[in-house]
Amino acid sequence: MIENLGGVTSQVAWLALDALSLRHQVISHNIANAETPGFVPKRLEFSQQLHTLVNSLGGGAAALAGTPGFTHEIDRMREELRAGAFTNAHTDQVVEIDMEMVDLTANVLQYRSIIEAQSKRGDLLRMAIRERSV
Amino acid sequence: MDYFSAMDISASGMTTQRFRLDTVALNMANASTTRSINGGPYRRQQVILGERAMQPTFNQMLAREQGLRYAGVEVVQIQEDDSPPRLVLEPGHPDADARGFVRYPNINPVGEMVILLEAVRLYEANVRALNAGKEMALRALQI
Amino acid sequence: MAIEGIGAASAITPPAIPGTQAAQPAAGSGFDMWLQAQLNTVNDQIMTGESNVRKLATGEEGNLHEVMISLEKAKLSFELILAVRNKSLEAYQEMMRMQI
Repeated sequence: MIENLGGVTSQVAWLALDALSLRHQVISHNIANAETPGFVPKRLEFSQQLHTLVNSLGGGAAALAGTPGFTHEIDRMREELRAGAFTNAHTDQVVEIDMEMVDLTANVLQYRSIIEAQSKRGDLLRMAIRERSV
Repeated sequence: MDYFSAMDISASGMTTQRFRLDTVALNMANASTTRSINGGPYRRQQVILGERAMQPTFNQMLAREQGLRYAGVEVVQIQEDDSPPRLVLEPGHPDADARGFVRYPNINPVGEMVILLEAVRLYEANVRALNAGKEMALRALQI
Repeated sequence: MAIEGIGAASAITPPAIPGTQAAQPAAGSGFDMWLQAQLNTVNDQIMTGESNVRKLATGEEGNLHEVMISLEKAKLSFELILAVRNKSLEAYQEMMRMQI
């Protein structure tokens, strides 16, 4: 129980943060190499896989608790993420610095919003545990 | 997660753009130098940039973290521009040749300014990327 | 054990005070029905919040404010129902302490 208080939602949220953190590195790398001759811009494309994984749970309250199988899947995806499985080189493109800056900003916003949402969920759990509102 | 963090990547971008800026300044300062250290007119310096990749350490290979080795950009080479010098007819000049032509450095001020503006813009972009990374890290501290 | 939704809690019925059969309220008194309804609402709101956070994480949800508002709603509703529960418990305990 203690291991998995947050359930599926927390596991998905933390994995998403991992992906966003990595995406920030990729975007920074593109920006740093904006005028390097012959450089191929890279992109982290991860949301499709994550989406599929979450949908595989199906609906229902019981699904939110997560299963050992799901946890295993999440860990596996995290490994693949770190190994670079979702980072694709777009050989047909050049670095467009404006798009990179927009991606950078959107990425930070996504990161912050997930952290904020997790904070609110944590507050609610804390309320239940402490049986009071603070 | 990686040996080179995102902030190092942005720092490498900033360093290389500063280097290009310095090179432009050097070129502009020597735009009329007819006697370089190695003899002959000053030759325009050109900065060649390359993508930097980090070889994974043994521990990282053990952990199978091989794929992601983004490390930003680095100065690969400082090349001298081989294009022929500018010939200006100045018969009275001490460095004039037999026909009265002086060989001046092959530096085009407009071209140098373009590089300057680009370097400044990219420097700013890298600063923004650095700040974004810093902001994310600060937020994570508040989880 | 996993954290289940609030709906799993059983409905609260007012305690039967011995010797006062005549004062028994009608079956399905207003309070416990009301409470059950509120619990279901809070549960639904929490579920919606969870679902929205998952959508945010996978990048499906574009409306940031919707996610935040739904989470805040769930939090406030839970706080309210918690306060009701605490007050009810307090009242019950005070009743039990009463000397007859």
